[in-house]
Amino acid sequence: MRNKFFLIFILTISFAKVSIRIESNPHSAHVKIDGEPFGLTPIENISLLPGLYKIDLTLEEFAPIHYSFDLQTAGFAVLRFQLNRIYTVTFNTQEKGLNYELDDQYNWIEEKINLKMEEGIHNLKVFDGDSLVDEKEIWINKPSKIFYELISN
Amino acid sequence: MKTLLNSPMGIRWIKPVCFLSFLILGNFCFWGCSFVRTIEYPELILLNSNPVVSVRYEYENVQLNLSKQVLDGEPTAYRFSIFNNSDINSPLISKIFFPDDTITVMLPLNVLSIEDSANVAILIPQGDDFEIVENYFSIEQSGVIEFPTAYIRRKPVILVGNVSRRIGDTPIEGAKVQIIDSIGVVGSSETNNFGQFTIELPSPFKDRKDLNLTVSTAGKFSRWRNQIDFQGEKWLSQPVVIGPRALFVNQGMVYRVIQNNTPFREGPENGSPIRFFLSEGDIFVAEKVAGDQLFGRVEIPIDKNDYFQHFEGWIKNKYLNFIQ
Repeated sequence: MRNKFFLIFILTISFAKVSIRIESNPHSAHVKIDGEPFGLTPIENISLLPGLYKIDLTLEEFAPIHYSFDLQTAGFAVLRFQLNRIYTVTFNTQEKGLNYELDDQYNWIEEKINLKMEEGIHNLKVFDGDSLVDEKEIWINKPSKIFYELISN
Repeated sequence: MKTLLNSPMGIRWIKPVCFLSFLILGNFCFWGCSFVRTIEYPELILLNSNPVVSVRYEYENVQLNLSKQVLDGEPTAYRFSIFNNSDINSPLISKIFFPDDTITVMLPLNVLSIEDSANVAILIPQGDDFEIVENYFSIEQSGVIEFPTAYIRRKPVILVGNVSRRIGDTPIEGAKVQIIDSIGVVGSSETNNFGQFTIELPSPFKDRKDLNLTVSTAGKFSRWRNQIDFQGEKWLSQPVVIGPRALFVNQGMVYRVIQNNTPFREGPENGSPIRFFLSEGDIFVAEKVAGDQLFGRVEIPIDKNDYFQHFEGWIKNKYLNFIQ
């Protein structure tokens, strides 16, 4: 009798699993689900129980993706990720003694520096000491050089 | 200061200025242009925006089909909705179909409940006062569910009432209640143990003026008959009181007429004029007996039972059954 219940329990669990396909653009990204490697995209027939998962995608020269995903009960699920490219951007200025900050978290003081930036629109803030003296949006869509000049009012 | 140039192990023959030049040239030779390369920021500059990801679920589907047959009226459209009983206010799907459309919807298997009769499909014909058709169902697996044919008709007119005995106001069970028109019986029912009855008729009967209600009790009491008129409404209540009054039966020996069309004569002699014919179940109270004939009276309710008229006459004994 105990074996019978165990068999029913196992069958119930196996029937409840959802088959998943993970795709990415571009393909060949490394996939980890809850820290466990699953190979390169596209990946077919990953069988998971409904629930919360953390999916990580990494690919050289592209921004990594960390995605929390609540898998619903279904027959089949397809996840398609769009990876953003990383471009090298050279920041150059002749201004002296200024602090620079990107996206409220990346700081430097050098007058010339190479940055590896995710494609998209970034926010640059320039500080003289503690005071904000300039703020700009920078659109990154290719490797580029930024020549920064502080224009005083 | 002790340096490479002036230390005992140093290169004393090189002049300090030349040593500096050699040092710079050596670095260029070894590192190339990268000797003066730009500093690199140690982290990736990420936008930290939500990742661009599309999630597409594919569910196993259930197809729900409903065929219909219009019996009465002409619906302009149909609203077909599927509900989960746990949330009857929010349909899982609600769709309008035109009269010529095939009524069918498709739903993912997982949105429907697997519990018994936990889902309900409701069809609401539009355009008039139609009856709503409900089908309760449960789901075990994907596939097609065919509901029974929905018969579309306008909400019926309903006659309700109760039949009771005049003496004691007790209910009469098993009385046969019929609605008849000029052609025949259009609806019938039988009273329950509380004397109650319900008869449904199609909607057009609400405007009919030729309807009569009859109540018969298998000869226990005379047949009751009265005209009914719904007056355009869909509900009518009709109480029915039958049988003789206590005042009447206390006037003598009580008999019941056992045959329809029993002659009620003015005198006991053969050939005496017939006042009228009595029906099975009519009550006759006898005052005197002469041979095979009894003299007495019958009570006829007039004007919806509110008024009674007594008639005296003779009946042959063979048409009567003694009660008390």
